[in-house]
Amino acid sequence: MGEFQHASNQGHTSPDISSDANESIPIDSASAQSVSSSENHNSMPKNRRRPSALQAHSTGVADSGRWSSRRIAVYALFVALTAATSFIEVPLLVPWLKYDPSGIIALVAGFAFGPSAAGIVSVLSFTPHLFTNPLGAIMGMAVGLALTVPAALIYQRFRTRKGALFALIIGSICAIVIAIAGNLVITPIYTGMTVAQVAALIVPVLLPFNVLKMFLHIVCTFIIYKPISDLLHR
Amino acid sequence: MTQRGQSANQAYAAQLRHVSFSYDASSWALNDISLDIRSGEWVCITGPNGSGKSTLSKVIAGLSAPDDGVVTLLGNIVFDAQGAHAAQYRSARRDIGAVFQNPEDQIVTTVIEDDVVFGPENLGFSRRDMAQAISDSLHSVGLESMRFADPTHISGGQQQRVAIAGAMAMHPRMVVLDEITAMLDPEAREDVMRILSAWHAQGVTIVHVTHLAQEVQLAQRVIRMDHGRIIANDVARHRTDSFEKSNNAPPVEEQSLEETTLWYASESEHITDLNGTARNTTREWAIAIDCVTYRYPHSQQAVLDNYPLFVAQGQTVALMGRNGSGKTTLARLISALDSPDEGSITVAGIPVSSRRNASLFGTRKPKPANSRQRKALRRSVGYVMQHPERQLFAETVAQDVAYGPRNQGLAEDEIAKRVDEALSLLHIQDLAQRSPFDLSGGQQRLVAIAGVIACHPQVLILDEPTANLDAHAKQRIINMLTHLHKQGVTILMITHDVEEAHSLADRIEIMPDSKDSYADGDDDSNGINGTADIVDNLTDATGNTTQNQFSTDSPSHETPRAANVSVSRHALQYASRPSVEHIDVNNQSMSLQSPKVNASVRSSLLSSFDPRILLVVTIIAMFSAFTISNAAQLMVAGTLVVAAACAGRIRVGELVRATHGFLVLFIFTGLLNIFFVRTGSILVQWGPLILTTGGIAASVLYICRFALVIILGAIVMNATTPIAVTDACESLMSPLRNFGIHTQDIALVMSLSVRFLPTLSSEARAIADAQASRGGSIESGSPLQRIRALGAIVVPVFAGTLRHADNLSLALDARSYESGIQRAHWRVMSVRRRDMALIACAALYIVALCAAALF
Repeated sequence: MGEFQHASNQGHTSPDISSDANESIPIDSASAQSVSSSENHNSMPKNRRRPSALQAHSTGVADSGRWSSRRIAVYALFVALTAATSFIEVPLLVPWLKYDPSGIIALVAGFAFGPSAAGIVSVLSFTPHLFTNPLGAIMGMAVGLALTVPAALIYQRFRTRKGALFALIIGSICAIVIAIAGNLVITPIYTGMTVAQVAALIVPVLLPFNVLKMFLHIVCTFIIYKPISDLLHR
Repeated sequence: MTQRGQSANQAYAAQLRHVSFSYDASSWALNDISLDIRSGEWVCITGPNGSGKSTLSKVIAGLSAPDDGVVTLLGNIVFDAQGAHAAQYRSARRDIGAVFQNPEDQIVTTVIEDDVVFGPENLGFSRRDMAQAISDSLHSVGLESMRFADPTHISGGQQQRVAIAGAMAMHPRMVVLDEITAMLDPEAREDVMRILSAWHAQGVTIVHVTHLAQEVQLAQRVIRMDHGRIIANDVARHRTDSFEKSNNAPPVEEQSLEETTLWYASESEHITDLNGTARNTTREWAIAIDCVTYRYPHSQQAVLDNYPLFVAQGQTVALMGRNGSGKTTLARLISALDSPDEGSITVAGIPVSSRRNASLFGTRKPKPANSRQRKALRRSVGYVMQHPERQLFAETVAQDVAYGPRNQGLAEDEIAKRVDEALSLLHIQDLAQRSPFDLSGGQQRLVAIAGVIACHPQVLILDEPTANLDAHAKQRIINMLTHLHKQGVTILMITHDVEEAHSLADRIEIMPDSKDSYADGDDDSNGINGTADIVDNLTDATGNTTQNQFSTDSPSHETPRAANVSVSRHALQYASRPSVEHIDVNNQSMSLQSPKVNASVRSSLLSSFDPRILLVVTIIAMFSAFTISNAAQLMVAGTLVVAAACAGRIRVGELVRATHGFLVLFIFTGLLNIFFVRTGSILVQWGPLILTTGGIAASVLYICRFALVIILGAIVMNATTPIAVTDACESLMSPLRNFGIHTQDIALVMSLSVRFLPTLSSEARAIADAQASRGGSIESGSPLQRIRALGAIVVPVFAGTLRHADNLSLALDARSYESGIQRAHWRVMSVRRRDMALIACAALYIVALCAAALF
């Protein structure tokens, strides 16, 4: 199932969770234009109206300006999945610098369902941490937003493998900037270090750690998004 | 409801004229369907998998609009030549209830009461009506005693009853049920059908999609579907008035289950009891489980207690018994996915778990298999888990089936041969190049099983492989198992289907009901239904040593079996008819005993505050702690935290568990301070590292204030429920509604995500286990292998996430949730005097903190 068929023939999907009709197309545009929609025309019973692309089985209850139940359900499940993975912590370099893969899920949500999904998933998935580690949660939200929202915005315009890579790199740069800026603010609150002392740690510690983290995000997202986009558009 | 009166003058609950529906624009799921359903009628829709019955039910429930035709629901013309009419759909849906196959995906919150009242809230019931609706509907399904339990921790049968109660509470005039008993065991099925009979007696129109003959015969009219068309639409011949009577009714033509039950009952009391004196060497046994005991973590009661099971090489054994009796646990132990607390397990000559010699300190846990033995075990044991179709991940069926053989390191041509062979055994060669995600549920199941068969296991373990399949797909699995049996494969099959067990197995093992077993460990049928009497019945005939009566071709092996468990068929027959009341007694005891039921927090002063006030005060206190700069302030904040701990009645153990994860962070911040703060006098100087008095003071201060923040958060979280937190957040966010932010929807997203978080975690674990048993592990192997193993886990997890989302969105629609509606609220938050006192205390604390800063 390729994106070509999807784009040209949306009758087979349930209503897109986003009002934006062209929002969800797989990462790999080079693949599969195999099943053309013309084949489908032939086997379709001819005497009846083809299903209309826009209203595909929608009862119209969730019209413009409202969130459909599907949209709510998809957001909820992605928030749950992101929150679940945010509890996984893999030590990187040193034991106290932990890598959590939740950013990958939020990136996937952004690619699949657009920037608003990316934003909601990034923020809501950190709310369970808000009352256990408030500053950490706020940092997590800020970095998550910086990573996923720009990436989703760019990918929305350029839906190709290259576009995805570009989106991930730009998102990562934003996230690294926010992470370091956040550390300059938060570390002096956690410890007695001055901002200058933290700044001195940027090059030897903060930058390598965050670059490594984002590199892992990019690699994993790139590997898993293709099969997942196939799932979304079957 | 006010509209209720209208039903009298509406002769038809639903009318469909020339309705067609297509998913893929290439074929019709519904093809020119015309149908009338009268008010108060009980209609069954039946037909093979993929015949369109489910689609038809969604159209009738007003959840999906067709592509063509005219649909009238409860007097509202919801769809005609002009298309869908949203207002009409809204109005119709308010009076239509819908319940679906998967009970788990219809539960929206973590307290049963809140879940039941979700629909009435959406319909804007008055408070009194909501209270009435909760108690009436929970009474109807026999769950009053579990009103405050967590619905995610109960059995599948109970969950489905909660879902039915949720539909009942909305007082629908018509209810559409889509294979609601498909995931339930026979006992839970009967409970559900009894509830439906009572509901129908109240005048509710029932549209029930099912392929179980026993259920079909309860209907007044049966609509048979095939390839999107109605092929028969008959008034039922054997309509019986109540479910109780139907059990004695003569079987109808396609009857199979009923027949079996009758045959089953007519057998005189046979005792299958094999005594345990002959404990042979384990060599000739393909599976030798010797007196194994297993408890779930945090559970007192053993789910398996001193349980023995011996399966000879080449034997096929059917393992039966109620949900919660430990069948799935046993399968996991055999596959080395869990290890027992006591006893030894040997599978295909490999010691999966071996007894250790008793030491001075009493018996120790048995020794688990080492990694080499595990690897050998993975090669010789194939494990088909429940719903194996949820593990599919690859781009094509052939690649998915090849996953196991490839992990065994076979050559490419051998892999191709294995794939061919496995696919042809199940007659699905034609699917080889299709994507597994484009297949029907039944086809997916066959592909997943082929993926295990392709590994050429000597021992095959299957957990309800035919559950929820139509007769055709079922037969393919049975044929395949017969073939493997002839080839000498040892088969252990968990099943609820007596007929199937009888036709395949050399021997039927019935698990004893453990009295207080809590969960079966499987994902959607956990929990207990067993009752104490049944256990007594099952275990009263001890000591007899009769040769196995269930043998269909009496095996030559003497099967050793401990004498303390023996089972009569008669007892099982009896066991399958517990009264609903009976179950409740047990449920109550379960909710008291089970550590898993944590829906209600221990009541304390802290938990009695308005959650909004409590959260805001907590956040202020947490952030103010970061301004602490001297010992006096630390004292003030420490007093606050101690007071909060007392008010929250938190136990020390709970506090440690909630905060120990931050220990590393505390140590880290402490070290940073010690080495970066260089005020005060120098104590030690060692190269570039300088230790100063100021550094140590700063280190203590920062660790303490950070710890206070974390501890305060843990105390408050311990005293509130996730529901209270989301309710509070919704209320606090509600002013943002004026800026076009969907606060109500966001709050729902939050509470749904809280609800689904544990579900997704346990599913991810199950998938990882399943792929591990096919030899794919992310913990070992080359980077390429690890990435492949990761993909084999991540893809099914996402597929599951999307599947839950699809089901959940239907459930939200069925409960009449709409974005932007004016909802009623069952749980009312009000600021009372004690909340004002809390605010005063908080203000006092801030003043004290400021005053202490002067010291």
